[in-house]
Amino acid sequence: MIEVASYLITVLIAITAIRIIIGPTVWDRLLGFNIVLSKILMLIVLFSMIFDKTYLLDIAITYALIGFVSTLFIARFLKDRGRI
Amino acid sequence: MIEKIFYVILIIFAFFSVQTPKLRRSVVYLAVFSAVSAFTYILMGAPDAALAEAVIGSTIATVIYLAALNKYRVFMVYLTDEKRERHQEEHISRRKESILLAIENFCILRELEPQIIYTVDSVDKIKEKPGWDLIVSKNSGNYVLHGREQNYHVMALKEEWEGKQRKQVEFIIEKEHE
Amino acid sequence: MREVISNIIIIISLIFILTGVFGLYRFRNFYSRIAIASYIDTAGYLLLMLGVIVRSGVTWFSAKVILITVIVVLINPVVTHSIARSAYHGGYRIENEGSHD
Repeated sequence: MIEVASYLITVLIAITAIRIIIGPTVWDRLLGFNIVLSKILMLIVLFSMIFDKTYLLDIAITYALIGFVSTLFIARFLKDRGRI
Repeated sequence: MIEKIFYVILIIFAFFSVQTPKLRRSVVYLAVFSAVSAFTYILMGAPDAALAEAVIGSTIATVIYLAALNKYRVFMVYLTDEKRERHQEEHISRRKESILLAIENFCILRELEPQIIYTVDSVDKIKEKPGWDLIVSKNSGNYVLHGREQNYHVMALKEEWEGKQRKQVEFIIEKEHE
Repeated sequence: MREVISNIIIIISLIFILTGVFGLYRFRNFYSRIAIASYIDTAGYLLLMLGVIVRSGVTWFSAKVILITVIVVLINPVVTHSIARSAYHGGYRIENEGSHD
């Protein structure tokens, strides 16, 4: 079941990438980026379950703690008209 | 199988981040590219490289790109349509207003970064906010462009288009208050 | 027995995630899209992690997964809020607030 879930989530990342590319405004692209980040986080946890390697979860913790910073900075950049 | 899908996604984002004319779009594409490549390193069996890519590529590189874009002047264009109640999604995605393409070409030539915002607020309400450069309002087929006199980019746009004898475009320039 | 329960939970979470991605294309308005996608994404994430924890049992693996889940549940709404706030304060309005249809 976990393998099926990882395949399905991979396909969903590919579908979300279409929204990032066609998205009419830059905020749609940011929303797609946020969703891709959380999907990748799910995939890392699933893969560490499949391979039975606990150290992959450390990467997931780093990813969850630091991945949101870029989204936050781009959002502030767009709101304040170029000033970070 | 999963690796192949991720390789295709990586190639697509690398292509688009080089090809797109707008730099802020390119920053988002590059952020997605490095996020996906961090996962691809895990699939290839290199968790240490994945850790470095997640920290450096996805976060610090994006912030450095934005700091570099800071030097590039942003040109704020508001597009308002007071007659219409709402903007249709198709109008936004297909860029039906041909005047926007002309403004974007002008901005690329002068090394400005155009940010186009669709809104239904009235012109006076937009003018209360700080930091607008150009307001495009539609008036039964004609376009009315509002600008300020001290903004030399707007004055250059006006000179260029009056030389070309563009139809259906009217400029309203605010004088500076003493 | 534990495996069957975790399989059921993972199937439910996959349905949630699928619905969230479908909502990205279904709605014609940016603000509807961001609301639907972020709610359903967080719900699917919680359920998927619950399924993984049930399958793994009481181990260090589950403890780390619980830590990741707590971090994501705290951070995901903040990021979504900041995107919507950036769009709203940037002046992106595609619909008058008075008109409901």
